[in-house]
Amino acid sequence: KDYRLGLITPPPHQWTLSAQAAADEIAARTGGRVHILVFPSGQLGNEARMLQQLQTGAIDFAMMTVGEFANRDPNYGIFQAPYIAADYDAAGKLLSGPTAQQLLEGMRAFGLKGLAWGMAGFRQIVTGPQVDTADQLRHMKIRTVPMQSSMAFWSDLGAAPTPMPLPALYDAFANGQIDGMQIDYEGTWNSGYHDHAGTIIASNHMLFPMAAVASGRKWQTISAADRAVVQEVFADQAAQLIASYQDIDAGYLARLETTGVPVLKVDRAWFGPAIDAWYGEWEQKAPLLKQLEAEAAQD
Amino acid sequence: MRLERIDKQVARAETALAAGLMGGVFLILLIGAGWRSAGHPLAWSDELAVLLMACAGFFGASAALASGRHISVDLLEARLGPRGRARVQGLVRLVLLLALAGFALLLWRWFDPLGLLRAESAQAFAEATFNFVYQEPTVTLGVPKVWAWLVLIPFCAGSLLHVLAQIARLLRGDAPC
Amino acid sequence: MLSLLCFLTLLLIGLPIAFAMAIAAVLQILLSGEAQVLLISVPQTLFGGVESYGLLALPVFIFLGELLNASGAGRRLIALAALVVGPVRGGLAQVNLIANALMAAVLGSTVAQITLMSRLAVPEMVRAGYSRDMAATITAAGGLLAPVLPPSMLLIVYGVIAQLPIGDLFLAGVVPGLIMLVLFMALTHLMGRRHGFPASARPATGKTRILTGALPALAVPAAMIGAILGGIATPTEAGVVAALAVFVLGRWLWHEIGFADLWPALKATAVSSASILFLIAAAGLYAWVAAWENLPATVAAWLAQVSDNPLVFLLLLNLLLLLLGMVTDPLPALILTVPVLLPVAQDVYGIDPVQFGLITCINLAAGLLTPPVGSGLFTAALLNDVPSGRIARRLLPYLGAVGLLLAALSLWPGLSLGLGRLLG
Ligand code: NA
Ligand code: NA
Repeated sequence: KDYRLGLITPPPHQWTLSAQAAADEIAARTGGRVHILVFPSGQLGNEARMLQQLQTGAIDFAMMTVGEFANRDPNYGIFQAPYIAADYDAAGKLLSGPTAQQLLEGMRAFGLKGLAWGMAGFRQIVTGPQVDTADQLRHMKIRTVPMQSSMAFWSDLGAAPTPMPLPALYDAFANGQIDGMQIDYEGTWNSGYHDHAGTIIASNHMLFPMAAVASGRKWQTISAADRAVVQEVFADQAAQLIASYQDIDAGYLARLETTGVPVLKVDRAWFGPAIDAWYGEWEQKAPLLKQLEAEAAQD
Repeated sequence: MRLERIDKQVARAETALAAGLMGGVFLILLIGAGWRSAGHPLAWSDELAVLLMACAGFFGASAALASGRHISVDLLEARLGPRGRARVQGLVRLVLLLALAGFALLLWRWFDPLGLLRAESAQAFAEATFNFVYQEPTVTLGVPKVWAWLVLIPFCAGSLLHVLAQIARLLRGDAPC
Repeated sequence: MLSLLCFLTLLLIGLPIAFAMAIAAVLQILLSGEAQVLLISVPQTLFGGVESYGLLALPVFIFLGELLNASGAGRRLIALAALVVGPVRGGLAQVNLIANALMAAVLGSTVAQITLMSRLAVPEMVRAGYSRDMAATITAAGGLLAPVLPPSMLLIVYGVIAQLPIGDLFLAGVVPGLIMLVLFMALTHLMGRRHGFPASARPATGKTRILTGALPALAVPAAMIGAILGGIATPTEAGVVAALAVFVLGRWLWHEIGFADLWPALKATAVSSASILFLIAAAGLYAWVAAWENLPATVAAWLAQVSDNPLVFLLLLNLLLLLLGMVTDPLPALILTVPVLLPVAQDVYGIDPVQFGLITCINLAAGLLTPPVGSGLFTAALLNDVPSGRIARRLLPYLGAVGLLLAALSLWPGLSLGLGRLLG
């Protein structure tokens, strides 16, 4: 039987490649009983539309950023905690740990079956004006995704978080409607934002999690044995995906370093007291954050 | 005739609503640009502008049905005599009537008001039926998305009314709009 | 197949195109074998089709067009352009094309530009003795410059799907856009001789009076470009800023417009944009069903089998896009085809994605001017009160010129990629 997996990334993106790899492996291991067609580039709609279709059962699987979930329950914003994971290894552990598992199970409330967590590259900061200190970020208009936890990070720094659709971003940055953006190396290089950048702040300050999910309605109709295969393959692929970003991030950073735009390497201390303020606020808003912090502290 | 008068008044109200909403869209875009350049970007302005435009679009689409302003091909009509033309125009309205009735049925199933009344809460309704129409949030506005989706109901009702009025006119031997 | 037949039948008996498309999409759903779960998504998909930030440009530039016309700013600008071109045969037609190129530097959508120029240029041309058909045709053709010369909504959407720097795509559009302008002007010159276009008249009032009257009108594009480059507004917001500037000039300088004129302009804007928005909603529904049925991937697999020659692929691509452009609007067509055809073009044939994007966007934009479904064609017909069939026939030579341009772009990648390489 044909199943459908939707995602918003284009065909060459690592998420799409991982989705196709998962589909191929699942087809092989279930003897073709679960044959997944991959629909990249938002062909079946943006993430809000895909989530609606997962709920009705019009599509069966998706790989999604965390935005739609965080918008429904603030606990899904906790992976956005600044400096929660020091490197790809730590990120991999957190995204497969007990809190992550609890969040996958909680997706039942959205009509979904959560399968696994993956990620894209660490978030960095690209600014138009040249930046040396975090104080210079104050009053800057920084483009972020419209997610409370992500926007709060910038408000706490005294900057003005500015949500803006991706197609408008290049011109807005070139013309100065925004002063900077929170983005990964991959997106910076592929969209050419470095053309108009004064500084690339290599901060590695935030994770960008991705959830592989199934339609709750359709999941019930797959046999228990095949369900086990699907779940195992997605967990495998997600773990490989997270690990692969070590090389992907390093590769794109190396390319960006050839452009002559100054790359400023910073750490948590560079941002000053704003990050503590963020944790103070979000430990109240998202009860699961403390649990995740405890998990992160174990390493 | 009464149907006639109601049809005209509803179309006028729809046009006015669509125009008012579009005016709102332009104001929000101006305010959004202004506040952003003053260093205080508004997170909600883009989403609100888009939703108001969509609502204006559906009110306007119903009004456009009343005044025959929808884009269509007039190849066949142009080649027919008055009687043939009236028949084809009647057929077109009949197809529209059926399609809109079907759409009304889909809306009834989607908004499922009786199911919602029977359920304990909106969340319980969603988890039992996999129908999340009342659970869908907006990204920045803090209100459920269903407030925007509701525009489909007056769109469908208004369109049905306009098509019925046009059928009545055709039966009397007048031009449909 | 059956749903396509249903669509064409409904179209032919005169059903509004948007409704014909939505009914055909629902028929396709009923035949899909998963009708139960897909039907419940229909209302959401319809609404979701117009829920896009990019579409805000549509009502904004329609409203700007209404105000430019009502305030007298458009008339003054055209008079200025005519003063520059001088009293030659077909002068006003050339003025129209040059004005279109100038507008294209500000507008990114063919439909928005045809809307604007239909209000601005067509009444002037008719007054000067052009036939209404010819004036509407030249205006419709000029609208094709909008998505080629930057900025361009189509290239922006393509850049997002293909993950390409939008600046590169814009740069790649400059040379093809200028070639298109030159081809159109030459063609118009030939048509002018054949159809005996009137010479533009010597201005009745003095040159100084035209200049002083028109110079403030230049403040409108200046305000728009200033707002964008000054970092104040996005192109869409700048459209609203320009509308405000037009109103201020028309109300307090020229005294041709008042607050009472705003309401009729808003109502006209609402109804015009609503019929286009609803068409896009219905097209979105059809595109969604087609994507769900995996139609594009089937086509791509077939294409890859036919030949390994990139030129054959580009020829087939152009034919396919031409057919697709005839029956759909560019945005849904772009969303439908690029994700499947671009990897084939890149991996199988080694075609540059920027070149591929320019060819795809220009071809699909031309589809805006072809029957049976062409928003640009219908907008020109509706606003100028000319049957769409007559405009479509007269547009044939212009579409032929676009075909020449597409052939050149397919044969010589340098036409689209050269400027980018030159500027590094
Ligand atoms: Na343009
Ligand atoms: Na067409």
